Amino acid sequence: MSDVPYDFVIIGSGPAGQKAAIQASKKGCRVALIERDRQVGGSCVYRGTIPSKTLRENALQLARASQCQQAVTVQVEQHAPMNHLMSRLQQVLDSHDHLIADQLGRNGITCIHGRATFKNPHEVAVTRVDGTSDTLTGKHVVIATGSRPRSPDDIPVDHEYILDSDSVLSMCYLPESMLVLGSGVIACEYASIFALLGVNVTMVDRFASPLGFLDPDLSARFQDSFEAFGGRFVGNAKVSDIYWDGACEVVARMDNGLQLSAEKALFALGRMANVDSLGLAAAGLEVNQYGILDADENCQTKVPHIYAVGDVIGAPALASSSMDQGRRAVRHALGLPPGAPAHTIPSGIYTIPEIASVGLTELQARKEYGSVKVAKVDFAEVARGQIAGIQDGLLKMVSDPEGKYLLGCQIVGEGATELIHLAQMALVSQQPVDIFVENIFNFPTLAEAYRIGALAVIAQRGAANDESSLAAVV
Amino acid sequence: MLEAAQATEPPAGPPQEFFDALSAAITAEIESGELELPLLPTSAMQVFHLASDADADIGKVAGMIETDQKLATGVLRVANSVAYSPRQEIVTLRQAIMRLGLKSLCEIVLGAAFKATVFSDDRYMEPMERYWRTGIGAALWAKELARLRRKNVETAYLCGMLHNVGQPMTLKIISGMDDAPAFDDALSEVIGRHAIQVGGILADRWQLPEVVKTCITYHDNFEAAENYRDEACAVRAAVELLNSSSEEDEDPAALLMPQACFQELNIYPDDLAGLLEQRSRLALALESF
Ligand SMILES: Cc1cc2nc3c(=O)[nH]c(=O)nc-3n(C[C@H](O)[C@H](O)[C@H](O)COP(=O)(O)OP(=O)(O)OC[C@H]3O[C@@H](n4cnc5c(N)ncnc54)[C@H](O)[C@@H]3O)c2cc1C
Repeated sequence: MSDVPYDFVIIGSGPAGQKAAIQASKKGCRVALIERDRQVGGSCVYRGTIPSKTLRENALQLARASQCQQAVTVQVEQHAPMNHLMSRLQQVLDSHDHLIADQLGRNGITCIHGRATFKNPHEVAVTRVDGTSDTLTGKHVVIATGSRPRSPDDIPVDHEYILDSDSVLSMCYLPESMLVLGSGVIACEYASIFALLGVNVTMVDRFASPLGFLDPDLSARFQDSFEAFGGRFVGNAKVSDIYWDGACEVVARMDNGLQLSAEKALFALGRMANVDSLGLAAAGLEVNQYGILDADENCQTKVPHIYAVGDVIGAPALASSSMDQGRRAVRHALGLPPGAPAHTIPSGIYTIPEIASVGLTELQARKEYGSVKVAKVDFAEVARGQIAGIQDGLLKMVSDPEGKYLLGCQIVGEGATELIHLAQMALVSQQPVDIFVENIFNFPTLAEAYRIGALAVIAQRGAANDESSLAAVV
Repeated sequence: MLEAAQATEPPAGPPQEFFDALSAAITAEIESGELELPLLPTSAMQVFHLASDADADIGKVAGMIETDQKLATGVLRVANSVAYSPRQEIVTLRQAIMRLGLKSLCEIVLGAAFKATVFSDDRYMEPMERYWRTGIGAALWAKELARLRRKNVETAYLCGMLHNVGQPMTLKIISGMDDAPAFDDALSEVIGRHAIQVGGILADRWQLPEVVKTCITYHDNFEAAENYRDEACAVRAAVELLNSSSEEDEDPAALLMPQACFQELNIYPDDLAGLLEQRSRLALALESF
């Protein structure tokens, strides 16, 4: 039993917990960071963002190499060992691990390996892996326990034939065929990566199109690319029964009578907050109807000294937003100005091709503003797109009814997750659309698409407020 | 009373010097570089080969297995066992292949081939059977551990199945010697001295994947493994789980928990309790082999 009170007891060492811990220690607080895994870093590092992006990057490099077919012949072997396709992952993880451990150490944060459970609102028991336990007392407690793949009772995920987004990375060899159940971000990311690697991928979802939260033209663009390199999307179909036939394949029966089969299946239909072992009731907390914790814009729960950050509070459930929430929660707890909450969080979807979005979609903007001005730019129109062979890209700018201010932007195409930040900056600083025309971008760049898009928005303005000087530039 | 005790006492085995000499003979044989190790049956090798060929002809595969009677019987027996839970009895090899698919068939052929080639010896049937059960039992537990930890289930199975392959191999070497003694604790101790080295040589000759060789070499000493330490540690834990399920212990978790391998694998007490709930199911599956 440790009765040394900490200023902050932080549970979970993913992006949210880490940034909370560092922010607190920078302000001179005594901080304990509890992590049930042996290494710090969270699912972001070991089961999510970093491994999936490493696989993606290597798949893309192979695809790029095979584009230069006159010079080299590249073909991914059927049954290619996954560790070849994930090469460099261990180096990436090791350097990340060093970096995090170093940062936490330098900041004097006490890292404790064990599983945390509330004893009461200020006391947290830590059970070590050998079963022994300690109790920590915290003036403030931050819950940053993240999430794990959802696995409903009727889906027999065995991690051998029917995998989830954690175990998919444990495959030794590329399978010949794969069924992907779901068409959200994680499902689409893996489906497009495996399809590019030559796996026969069929993605199934109860919605009519993948990534349904995007405007239909963007998701159609993704679907076209996915199908162009061999993937197949089956919409409006819900799995009613799925099983490994005990022999050679996973069989999935759909509610519409369709039957699909493949060597492996990936179940990627959402994530669940990690709250089961927390003993929330002892802290005076409970999860809401969606199984996540409720917290306000400063991540404060209904128990004022307990904060909840990252995936455990649900959307947007990104590493990027989780880090900000960790920092924000601690600043609020310490009475420091947390800064205005970001309302324009960009989302990056690392499908192939990449997709990114910030602000309102066209559908959302129309709902809110009625008529809006929309410009769409094909990457094929941009010199850099032609040079780099990125011709399946599309940038879409949505502006207010007057065509003055940007309301949102969506991009599909390689480089989208970087490019989106230009739109984000214009949005947060409320710059007129003209800023993209009045400033000079490097040439040739994909960012040129913003200039073309801005000109198209300006061209749609009424004659009265048409800025002829700009129109002349077109 | 004294008489009864004397009557049941086993006859004294050869003296320690004998076993030391035996051990020296094994060392000499290893060092000569001419250790005679069995080859996997050609039929088994060919099945593996064919299994990775997408256009493999099922008839051809069946034909190959049929040429090896021991293998064919082994395949049919396992194919009909609880582990593969057939919905109807499988009576022909062709039916087994159609039902099981090449991949599962491969697993079975591999098992049957190992059993027939490595884990059998007319002279030492009983200990060979025990080694085999340890291999398969560890394989089944390694699978469960892999599922829990989201690691590769197929690799775990292979590593578990072969982790102790050096023991039957060493016993086979002894069996080939003129003065091979009866199996007892002293002989088991000699086997223990050489098993890891012999297992490693076998792994090289058979060109087994590096991860399997590491598990053969380091399952008892996973801290020393440079690569695949996690896999070697998981095999160690699988063996512990297997041992705990053969003992009728009331509280196996309490015995297992303090062991370094479970801590290294980050298995918390409740995870372990969950694993141990599989004991009877796995025992049943083990019976099938
Ligand atoms: C396949 C995949 C790809 C992704 N790609 C991206 C991407 O490209 N970009 C992006 O921004 N986001 C991405 N994400 C999302 C991102 O990984 C998460 O949003 C982020 O990791 C959430 O951070 P967190 O700190 O809330 O939780 P986590 O990273 O999940 O960390 C939580 C930690 O808490 C620990 N923990 C849980 N319970 C306890 C307990 N009782 N006691 C002690 N410790 C506990 C866990 O072991 C874990 O280490 C991806 C996710 C997945 C699955």
